[in-house]
Amino acid sequence: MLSPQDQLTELVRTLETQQHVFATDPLLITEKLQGEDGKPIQKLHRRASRIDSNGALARVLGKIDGRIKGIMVVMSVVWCISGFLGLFTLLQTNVVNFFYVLVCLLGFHTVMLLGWLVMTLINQGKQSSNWFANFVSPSYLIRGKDDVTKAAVDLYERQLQHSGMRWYLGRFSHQLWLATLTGMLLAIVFLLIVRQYSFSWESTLLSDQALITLTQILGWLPSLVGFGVPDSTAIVQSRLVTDAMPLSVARQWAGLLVGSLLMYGIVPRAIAWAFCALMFRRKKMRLDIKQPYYQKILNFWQRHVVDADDFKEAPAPIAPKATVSTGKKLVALLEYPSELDNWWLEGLDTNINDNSKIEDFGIVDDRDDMDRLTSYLDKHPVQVLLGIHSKALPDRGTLRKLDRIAEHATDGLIVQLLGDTSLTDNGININADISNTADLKKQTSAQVAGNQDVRYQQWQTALSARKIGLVDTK
Amino acid sequence: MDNNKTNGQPVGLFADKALKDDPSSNLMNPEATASTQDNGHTTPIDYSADESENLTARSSKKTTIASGAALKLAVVGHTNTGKTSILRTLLRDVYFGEVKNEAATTRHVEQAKLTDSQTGEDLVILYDTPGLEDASGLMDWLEDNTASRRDGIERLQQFLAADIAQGGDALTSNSGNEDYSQEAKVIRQLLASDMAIYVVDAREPVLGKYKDELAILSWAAIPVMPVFNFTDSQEANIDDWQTMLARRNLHISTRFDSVAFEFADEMRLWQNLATMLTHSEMLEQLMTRRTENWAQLYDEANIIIADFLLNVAAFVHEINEDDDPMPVLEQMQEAVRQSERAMQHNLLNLYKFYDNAVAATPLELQAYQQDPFDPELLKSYGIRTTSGAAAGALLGLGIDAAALGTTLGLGAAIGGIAGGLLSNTSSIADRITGVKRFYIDPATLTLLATRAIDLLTALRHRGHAATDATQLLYKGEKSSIEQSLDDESNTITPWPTHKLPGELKKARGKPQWSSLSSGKSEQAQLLRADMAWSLASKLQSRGAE
Repeated sequence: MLSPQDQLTELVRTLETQQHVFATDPLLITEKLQGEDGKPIQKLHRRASRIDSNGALARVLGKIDGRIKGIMVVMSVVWCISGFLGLFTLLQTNVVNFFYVLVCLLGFHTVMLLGWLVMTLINQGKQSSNWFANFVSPSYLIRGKDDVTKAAVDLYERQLQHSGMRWYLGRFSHQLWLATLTGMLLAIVFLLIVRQYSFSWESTLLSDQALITLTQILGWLPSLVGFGVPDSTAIVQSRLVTDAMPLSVARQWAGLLVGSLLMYGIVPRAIAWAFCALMFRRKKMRLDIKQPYYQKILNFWQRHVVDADDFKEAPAPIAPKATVSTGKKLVALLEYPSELDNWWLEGLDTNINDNSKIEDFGIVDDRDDMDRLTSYLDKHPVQVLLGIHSKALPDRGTLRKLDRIAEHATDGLIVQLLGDTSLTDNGININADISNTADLKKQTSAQVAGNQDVRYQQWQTALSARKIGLVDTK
Repeated sequence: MDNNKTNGQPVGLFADKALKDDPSSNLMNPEATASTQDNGHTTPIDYSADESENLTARSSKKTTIASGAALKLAVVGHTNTGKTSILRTLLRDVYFGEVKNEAATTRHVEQAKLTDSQTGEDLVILYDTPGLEDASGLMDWLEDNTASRRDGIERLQQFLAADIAQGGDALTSNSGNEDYSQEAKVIRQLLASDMAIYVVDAREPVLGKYKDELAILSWAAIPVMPVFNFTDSQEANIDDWQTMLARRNLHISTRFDSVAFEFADEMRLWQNLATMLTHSEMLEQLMTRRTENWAQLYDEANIIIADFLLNVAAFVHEINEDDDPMPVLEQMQEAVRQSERAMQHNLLNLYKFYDNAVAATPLELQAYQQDPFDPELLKSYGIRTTSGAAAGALLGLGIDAAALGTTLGLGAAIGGIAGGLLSNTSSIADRITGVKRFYIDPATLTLLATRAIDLLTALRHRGHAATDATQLLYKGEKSSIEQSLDDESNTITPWPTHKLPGELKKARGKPQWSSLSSGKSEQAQLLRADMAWSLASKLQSRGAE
């Protein structure tokens, strides 16, 4: 059985997976608890009780629990009374057949206790669910068809299935036996106080000597704790008594009877009861916080940003700065066209006014363009300024082209990344049409800018690996 | 960018098989093998035979697929064009593969099956392939190293047998930057497939490298269908692309935006693929199934919404005349908030957008996170709180009070009955006992309905490749948010606030319909099921308008 707090926590879990509407929003409570201290299990308990802020769930659980306990008390009382009454009827005559009464008192009890012991030893370590749960349902205990009651009943049913319940039920059965035996004890003590009995014994098969030995063996344990035991003369005297016997002998027999009931009935039962109670405590059902549901919450609580993100720029490789030579230049665009006609003016020094020193190749796209470019480069020693659109992706094919141009450019190759103004503007405009929400706009424009940064960085990495200079246009 | 992934790790399913034994792919599909043999298309192949013999044997084996077999569809294209995204959307699986804005995100071939949702048979097997990165370089190699008198498949087979096509450890021993192992994977898969989808990023201009890619694809001699991704962008160059494709004999192409999803586009994609096949039964089956499922999803979604609205509309709380209403009101608001969230999650799950770290759902938008009882939000949706019973101290709390005990006489109570707001018997009893009842007011109901319908529209037009909340919201939704925030007069609420649908009005007299008031969710749901069904069809017809 779970502890009441565990039960509440489990109940909240069950209900939350069923999308139950709680008194307080679970998400809110989970968030609030993030900042609080405590052991995970304590926080889960606290979370459950806060979600159940009006106590509705705890009330249902309390109701079921109270009823279970109530039933146990009532049953114990009934058993106690029946024990009392049973013995009362047994001891109606003035002459009591001692061994007959003793077997009535302890016979069935001892058989049951030994049976329990054997079963416990046999079932040792077995995880078998107990028979009890099969025909006892907590739904008998509480009426109500609402979600909370149903979930609570389910929870109790699940607890009944737990292997630890064996000890709980064992404890309960011992408790009932104890109640019965106590009822008997009370009856004997009461009757011995108010009536005078004569104790006799009779036997067809057993001799006096056998009875004396038997009685002495039986009396050994009660005599240890100070109960009077009939001596051998008293035993011989007591055979087939039909009338009042000497009081001292009767007291000895009475002492043996009470002592036997106590030492062979109540004490072993109490030990068994204590053992079950101990085992139940040890095998107690615990909240399984390894379940994904709890883990998700606990993981959420464990996360804390202790030092805010103030990360500026990745220490990613940066392309070397291009050195623009004074010699002749060849400018070309890699694959993508540019909106500007003289895009290279931005990158090259303005002192190169002489346009004759600049050869514009145009766009290098397909394989023919590449062949033309390489054959030109093989003949003319020029520095190549390659314009690469920021939209272009530095994939293997593009980079291979770059390598090939670098290989053939005798006076070196430098790269200028063309910022795509249209892309950024367009991107934002489209999205601005879509959403006038300031929030949305901010997000989308940040996203577009983010994409450009990513691409820029990818080119930086690629260029630095190839030691190709990048023209600074900023 | 190193080749970590290719080194040592097992690469795609067919990466090392396609060259040697084509039927390995058929092994996975015994039906296919069986039926091809029945049709007599296959000639037994001696695999121990010489490589060149093998080539011809296999090339003769490349035929149209047999009827009844699953269509093997390779998804190919330049790197970063969104092949994996398209697969995510087609599979309705936000977890498939990995999507990033960079070259060579996918470096393996991954198989995913589209099955018949009822019979479970495989209809289409999709193959996600790595992106083609250097088709021009490969073309150079093919021209230099293979004879032009050979046919396309033979030339591709020669490439696959060459050193540069080997990935993994073989690569390290090779010098130079000539690594075509990615392209080899694509080509191997192409040769093992019945058909290919060539994914085009519609925002890209038509460049030389793309032409080379198409040339190589054409050598594989299987039908190729160009598919334009990211068509929702304004810089799409679809016309240029179509001109170029037509010159390469690719006259049929399809728009399919993996992020801004249109169901009609998907159907057109399957339809177009079907036109290219002799046996297109499985595609037709797939289309029928998908259309059915799509309509069914919409029905279910509308029922979820209707059920939620009825649940809220039937929600009633009673307090004594002189009790403080505030705690009850707060409790009611809390209950509505939680059940709205539950409804939203149900919708999301229905459309397979699970709460996850991979992709944000539209729920993360502010518009869905605002408190439904925030009067500002109500105003922004252009909903005016009604007069009448709601007027007074409770205005703006989103809850109506029917105070029948003292403030209104018996006559008014009967008037209330005539209005269909309250059920007959209990209201008169209330008058005598002096009880105040609280309902969720029509304005809030309208707001909840509007938001739910907006969310449904967004989900229906969101591809499973969309990774963040703002990414390409559906236009309908955009406009509703936009208008709602700027312009109060213009609203798209499903009904005027003062004219709630009859089902919702009726629900107000039936507290037992609400699991919020009774706590018996199963029972309450059963009770309102019929009404939910009828309200759902009303919502659906409004959505269609």
